[in-house]
Amino acid sequence: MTTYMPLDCDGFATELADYLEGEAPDAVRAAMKSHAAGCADCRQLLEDIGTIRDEAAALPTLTPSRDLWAGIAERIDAPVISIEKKRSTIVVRRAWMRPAIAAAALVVFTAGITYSITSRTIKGGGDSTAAAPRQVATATPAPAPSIAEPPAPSVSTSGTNGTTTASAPSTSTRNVERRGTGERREPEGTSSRLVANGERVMDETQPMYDREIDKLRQIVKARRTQLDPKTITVLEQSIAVIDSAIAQSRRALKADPASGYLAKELNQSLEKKVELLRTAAMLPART
Amino acid sequence: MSAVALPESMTVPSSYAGDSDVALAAAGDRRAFERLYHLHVNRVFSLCARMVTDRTRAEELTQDVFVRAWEKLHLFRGESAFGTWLHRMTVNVVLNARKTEGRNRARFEDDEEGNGVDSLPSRPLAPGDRMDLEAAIATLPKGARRVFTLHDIEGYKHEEIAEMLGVTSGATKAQLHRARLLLREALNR
Repeated sequence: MTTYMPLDCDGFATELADYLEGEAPDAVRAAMKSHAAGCADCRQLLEDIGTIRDEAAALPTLTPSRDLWAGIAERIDAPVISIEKKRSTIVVRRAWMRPAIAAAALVVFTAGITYSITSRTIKGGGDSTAAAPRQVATATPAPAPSIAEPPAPSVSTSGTNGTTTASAPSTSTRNVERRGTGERREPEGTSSRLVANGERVMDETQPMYDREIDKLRQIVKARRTQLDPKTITVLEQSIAVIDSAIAQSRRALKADPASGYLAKELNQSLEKKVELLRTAAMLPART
Repeated sequence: MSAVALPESMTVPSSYAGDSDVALAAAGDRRAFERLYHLHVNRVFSLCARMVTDRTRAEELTQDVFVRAWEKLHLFRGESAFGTWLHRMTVNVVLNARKTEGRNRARFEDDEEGNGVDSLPSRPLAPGDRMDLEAAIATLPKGARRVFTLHDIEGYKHEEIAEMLGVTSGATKAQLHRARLLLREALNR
């Protein structure tokens, strides 16, 4: 086959890679040799590449700048945690997490019930009227929605039919989230109904708070040995302060059962207590 | 041409040197593994250094290779020489490190078509100086350098390189040719 012959310099360059790889057909090889014999530049190119290839193959081994064994030994000497050991670690961790998971589940459960009761109460208060939109309970990210009412001075309750009037307008600070949609709507006219039904709502939610607090207390009690004593002390002091606030609110609410303000105060105190106990229940064990 | 003969570095240490140590190390003898380390460290380091051009990184990778070898030694069946097995593992460790650290370009070289700024020779060249081959290799673009190192220095065949790099053997041949021409230019020949 002579189609490759004679080769010019471009043809030589094109065939060079295959030639160097030993993959060029015999005719091409012959043409390459023939061209190189008559072309100093291409001959030089061939020689240079041959030299580079030979020198590369003969390059000496390199030496690290330091002894690398110490680092390797350190890594291979590191204790290997067997699968069994890993399992036991997981079990221990799970055991530790159990109270925390229970606390979280409890909070979610209670939040759902509180929300449900609150919603039902709002729906059921259709006979209430409101002169103006009122401030309702401040929304908090805490699991159980707040259910209390605006400051007492601006609220008066007639006592008949649960009708409540508000003497001065105030800004609504709470939006109600529509279940499942994430959409928020302004609960127009609901604040007064809440005031009217505040007492009833509190009657229904108080036992739930009490139950939740009781259960969280048990969890925290079971975890006492895992927590730092200083943390326990701080926790107990905080709970004492909150308990005092709760007791005061309850006493005041007993004297004025229709006060939305007092209901709100009580609600917030209970909320704080739940939150504090929940945090304590989920605290990591001391190391 | 013809196939490139296996370079000296491929046969030193000899194929079955340290066989007893391999068996001992596979059984958990750390001292035997240390002897294997001393026998092979320079070869492993050389490959790492030429593949990544950063000597500090190459030292880290060399350690990675031996740690991995220790972990995988029980899988070594003796179907090839330990040196060959280790060498292949070195290539894999380097290539995997490059994949996982692809985002951290600062410690590696430039992209495929980069100019290898970070791999310039440590000693600046004076006018008229000729760059030595080692320094010239370090200035090659990544793809060309990898193929050149594996083929012309380490003696792998195109098919093996293609498999390791996940490309076709046609691509590795093209990269090799490109690398040789670039080196000729860099060496001012």
